[in-house]
Amino acid sequence: MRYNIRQFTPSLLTIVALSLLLMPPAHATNWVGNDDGEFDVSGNPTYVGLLESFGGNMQWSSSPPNNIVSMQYNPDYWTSFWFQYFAHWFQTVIWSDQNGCGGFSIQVYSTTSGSLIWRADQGFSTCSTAFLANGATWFIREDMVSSTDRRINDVFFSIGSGSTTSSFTLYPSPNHWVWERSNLCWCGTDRGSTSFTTAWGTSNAYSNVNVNAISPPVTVSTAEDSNMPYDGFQGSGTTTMWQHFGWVPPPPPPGHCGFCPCTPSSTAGAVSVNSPKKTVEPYCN
Amino acid sequence: MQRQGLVSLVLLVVAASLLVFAISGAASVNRRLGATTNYDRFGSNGIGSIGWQVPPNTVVSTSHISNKPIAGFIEATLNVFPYQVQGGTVLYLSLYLDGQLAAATKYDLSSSYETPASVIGTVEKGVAKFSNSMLGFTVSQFPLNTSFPAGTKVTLLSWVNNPIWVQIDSNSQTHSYETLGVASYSSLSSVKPEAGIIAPYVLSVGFESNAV
Repeated sequence: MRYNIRQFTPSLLTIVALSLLLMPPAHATNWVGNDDGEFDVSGNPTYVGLLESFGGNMQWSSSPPNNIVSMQYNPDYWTSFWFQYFAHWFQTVIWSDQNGCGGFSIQVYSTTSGSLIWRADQGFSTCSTAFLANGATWFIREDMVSSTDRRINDVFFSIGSGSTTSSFTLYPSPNHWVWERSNLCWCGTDRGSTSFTTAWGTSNAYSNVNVNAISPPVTVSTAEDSNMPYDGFQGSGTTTMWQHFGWVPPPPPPGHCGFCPCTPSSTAGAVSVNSPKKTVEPYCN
Repeated sequence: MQRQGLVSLVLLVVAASLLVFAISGAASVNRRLGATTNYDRFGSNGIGSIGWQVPPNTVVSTSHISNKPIAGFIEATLNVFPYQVQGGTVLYLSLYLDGQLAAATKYDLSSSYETPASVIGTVEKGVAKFSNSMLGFTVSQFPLNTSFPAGTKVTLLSWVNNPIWVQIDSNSQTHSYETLGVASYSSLSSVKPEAGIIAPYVLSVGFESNAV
């Protein structure tokens, strides 16, 4: 049998096509749960943060296995695979139970073996149900060593509502890991999926350099999931980009505007290339 | 012809590798990565708002016994209140397993923090209650080439050149030991964890690992 490149090409293409078919497909559930759009930065950031501001109460009917929910700041899987230190996956998390007791966490996994490489945790200094109520803020910011060194020097965590706040800055050591493009997941924990019943708020992705919207990844990185919907990013290409999460609360009584600006254009300016099919309809007309 | 055959063979191997990679990669992703709330921690739990002003040029040694085998990695956290930190403050942390050096690191502390802690009430005997803001400085070793059995004594040595407010553990059954007047610091390859005198307070030191 003669082997030559012409004869072999069809076989090679067949194998590659088969590989592509076996790759995880683009998710039909984009902009829900663990499949939110991603944010990247232009230039050399000194920090990249996620600030979640609640415009309504967060409640859930189930979140197996431990009835805990989490805000996950998840780096892109394949970007981590190719570019992160030893193909690690550097995840930062705030988690809470229904009493507002929880913690801050950095968890680093190997994308090749799936094993836990390193972690550090800190519990909230106080528990408060206000952490799950309208007006609460959840905050994770990853700070780099410098504008020319993208290694993550420290992670600032904060959860608060009104005068009750718990803040913690965690310094991983050794600090090998660099910042990679990421997304937000309002998720369960411990490989579970949360069924949120109410939630509403604004997620801000911000940095000292411009933040750019990217469509949801082909490969979802985290094992946790939920039914939390997200709308498209607004303000892409600026230093603060935002999206809504959750469901618009019921209309307020007449004469009150409630949780969103009283204009019919709150979704105007969404990034078309990344816009989800679902958009949050303004109700304050 | 032999060269073409070799090229084809290489291409075949590459394509097959891609196939295996795609399948294994796709299969592994959602099974493994994610946020877990169950973790193996021993020592102090890091919860509390009481701080002790550790004097400058003092080595403080705090040890705990692991209640499970230690594998994969070992990490220690020392919590500091961002309150009246002087510019030029340097903090050294050294981690020991059964008295043998595992890892060491150095931090240059800032004189200003975004959410500084504030004292609630008054300072008495070098101890104060603080608002809810802390800095967690870690030192760790990964990967650990060998696992260590339950019962391993894990020690954190800290040294700072200016006074800082460190979280204390009022419920601890162990002691911290201090050695005063150490003008400069370098990590020793081995230490006796109980060297020095018993410190007036126990530093809050938490350890994490990946138990087998």
